[in-house]
Amino acid sequence: MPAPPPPPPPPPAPPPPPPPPSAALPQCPSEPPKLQSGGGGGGGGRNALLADIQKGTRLRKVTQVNDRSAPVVDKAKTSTGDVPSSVGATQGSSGGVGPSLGGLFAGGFPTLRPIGQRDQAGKTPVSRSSSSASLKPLWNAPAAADTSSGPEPHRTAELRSSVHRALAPSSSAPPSPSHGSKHPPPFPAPSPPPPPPAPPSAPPPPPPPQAFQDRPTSRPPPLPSCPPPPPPSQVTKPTWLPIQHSHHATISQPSTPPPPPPPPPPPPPPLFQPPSAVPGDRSSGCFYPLPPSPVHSEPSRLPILRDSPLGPPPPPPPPPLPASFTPTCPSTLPPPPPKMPPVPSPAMRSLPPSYPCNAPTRRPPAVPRNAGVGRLAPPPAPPARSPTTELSTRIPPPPPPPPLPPSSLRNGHLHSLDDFESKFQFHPVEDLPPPDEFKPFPRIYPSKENRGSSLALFIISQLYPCLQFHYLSFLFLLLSSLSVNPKPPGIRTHLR
Amino acid sequence: MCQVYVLCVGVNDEVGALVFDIGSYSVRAGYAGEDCPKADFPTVIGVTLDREDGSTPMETDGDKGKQGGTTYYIDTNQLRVPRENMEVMSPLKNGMKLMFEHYNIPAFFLCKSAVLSAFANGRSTGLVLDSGATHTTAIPVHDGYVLQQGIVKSPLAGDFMSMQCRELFQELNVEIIPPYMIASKDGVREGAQASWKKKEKLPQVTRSWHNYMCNCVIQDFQASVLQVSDSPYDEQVAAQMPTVHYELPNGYNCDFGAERLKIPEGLFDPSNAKGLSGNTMLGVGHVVTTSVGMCDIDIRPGLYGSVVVTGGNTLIQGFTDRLNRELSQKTPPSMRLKLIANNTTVERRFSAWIGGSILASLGTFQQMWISKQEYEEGGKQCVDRKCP
Repeated sequence: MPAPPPPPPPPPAPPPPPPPPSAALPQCPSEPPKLQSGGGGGGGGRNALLADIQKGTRLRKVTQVNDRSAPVVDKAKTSTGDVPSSVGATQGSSGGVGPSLGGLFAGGFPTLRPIGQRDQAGKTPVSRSSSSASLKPLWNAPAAADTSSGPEPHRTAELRSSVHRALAPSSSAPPSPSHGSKHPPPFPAPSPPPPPPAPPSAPPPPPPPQAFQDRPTSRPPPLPSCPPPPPPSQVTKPTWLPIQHSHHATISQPSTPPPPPPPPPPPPPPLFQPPSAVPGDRSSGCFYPLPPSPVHSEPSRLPILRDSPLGPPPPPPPPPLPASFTPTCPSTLPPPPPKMPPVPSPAMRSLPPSYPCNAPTRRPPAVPRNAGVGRLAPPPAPPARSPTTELSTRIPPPPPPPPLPPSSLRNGHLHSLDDFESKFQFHPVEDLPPPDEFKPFPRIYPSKENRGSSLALFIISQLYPCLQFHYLSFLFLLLSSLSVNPKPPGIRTHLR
Repeated sequence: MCQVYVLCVGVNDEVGALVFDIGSYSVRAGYAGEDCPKADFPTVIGVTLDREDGSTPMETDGDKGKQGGTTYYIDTNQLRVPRENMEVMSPLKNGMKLMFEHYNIPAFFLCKSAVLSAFANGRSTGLVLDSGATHTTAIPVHDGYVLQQGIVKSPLAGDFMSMQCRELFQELNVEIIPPYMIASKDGVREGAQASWKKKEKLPQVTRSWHNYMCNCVIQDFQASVLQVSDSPYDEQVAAQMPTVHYELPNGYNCDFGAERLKIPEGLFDPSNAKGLSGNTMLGVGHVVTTSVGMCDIDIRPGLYGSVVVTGGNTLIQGFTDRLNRELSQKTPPSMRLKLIANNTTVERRFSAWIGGSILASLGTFQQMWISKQEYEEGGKQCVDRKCP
């Protein structure tokens, strides 16, 4: 037996040096501090132990998780002495890093496709590699029990902390409770009444929107419900705003790309521009409801945005609508309605030629980041005029975009001008009538003529700009009565 | 101080180790070398008393089941079935050590859970903030030893949160009905009185058991709804908080907004919390800084540089962000603060267990076991001596 280690001395002199990176310890991503050499004499063995600790060690993953915390609903009611066969879906928290995930993730963690692949047609099953918090209510288990079959060895080590963090808030954040596995609370349908455990059944697509609606305050009609290819004559577009609450924002959303934004039928409403403009933006973990509003009111929304890589969002046109949602509601968005590469063209033809749609295949997006957005070719008409169109997607027939947007863009978004301007058809310089020829002429300024009183009044007006005009003119009259060269009209002009 | 028991067992000529982490809320137990405990169940025991046996609930000692007519129920499923005369109690610390004497274990080791939590994160020095069910404790660990003089304990933890949630429901005039009583319920409007039918033929359950089941309901509410505000609680900010809809087992449902932030605020700023007498309580941030402050100044950077956050109560949404913010404000500017709280749910609750698992699987640890013989010779003192 080794000599027992000496009692711990109150701190050895040198503070621990900054930590070096450590070997892989599954649970320890961060760097441990260097071993303190001042650990005392007999600490040879102990030092070795501590060194080992800091090196870390790989632990075996637990593969068979027997989650008995779920109530046995359909079997015996009285004695639960017999082990209820592990209720199919085991909750994410019941295992270690790679537990079998039940409920929503029975089919494994879906992975999100990067936006760039949105062009591929059709409704693709949504990919969610890390769900947003809304997806994981505690009560999934019981329902999941029926559907999923046995512990799922989907031991994706992808169980990033973000996932659990996402999971945690919604339900598994057990301050004290939660018996390891997220046992469904003993009662049937606890939290949100609406779409309950249906989600767990189908692994990918449908769940997200429904589950998403677990976060109730507002229930936007789920995305998939929007009619996919809008008829060319009438432009319809995704009609809702995925709404996530601010608390979700605290969940650092995973770095995986959000599902491709539902392709906006030709002109997505610029309503959703601000955060939108960044389909490629995956950093914003939160999304705030953007009530449709006229263009001019956009700046007011700015403060709400978080993590928006854009500066002041380019207000108008092209930000492809869905792109707006995408980054912010990563895993909750169901697969975007089928892409509509074909759609833009027919739709575009219906718009007045002066409108950008002349560049059908061109990438419209106001922001270069929309590179992957592809299909959102036709920049949206600004239906900003119809603020209530959260649900309706009519684009007012010929909505000539006001020249306002481009000019307002100019100030802050020079980088986006290249693409942006390409959407507009400007007359070449030659088309414009030439300016009048300049003929130099002597300029006569009244002020120069009335040096005396005018000068005094001028000074007064400069010093006291608040002085009312009539007051000033009164003063002037006084002065002019005393002055040598009164020339009221001239002064008046000047003062004005 | 919470200890984790590491037991050496022999199975089929192989020597393995079991790790037990017994907390006030749940017990985590499993095999060393694995990354999560095999067993994780509530630290309550349901004890049925024979009618003739007398009325006082018994302590759970080494003699399990020896007494006639007494059955013990653990685990969620067994425990949650309503039975007559089943009392609920916690077996904590009552003779757990005695158990070892019954089981002929070749060797064992005890380790403080704070040390193991640090180990689980690859550190042997750091400040472990453990916020569990009963206490929030800050324990400075240095070189694998706990600095006893720096331990700061506060009772504001999970149970405190549960109590506040209970009070909230009392204020709302909502009764907490556990599911076992409910035969059926109707959907009601939000905020309206619940409409439900009681089950017939319910066994006569004890008060302790009923309370336990009600606590489970509260705890689920606590886990689902509460959130810690990013910055000190502000009425206006809280009013704009998005609401969370929650439905109790009996059908009562409501949108909770400001309360979501208000209740957990008591953890960080107890001055306004209901039910606390005076301002003598420390918020979580203060617990940490006080603890570090009681340690030698030279090791403080090491402590602040590894603040390990563990415990189920820390899983409240927003807890770590707020803690980070508070500590950043309170630490001296020259101090580098690092909060280690990136673990998943399981890791936060199991970090002490995982530390034990790691420890027991290290080669360098094998010489540190306390053998049965040693224990018999040295008694408790050798345990105190050998186990940090």
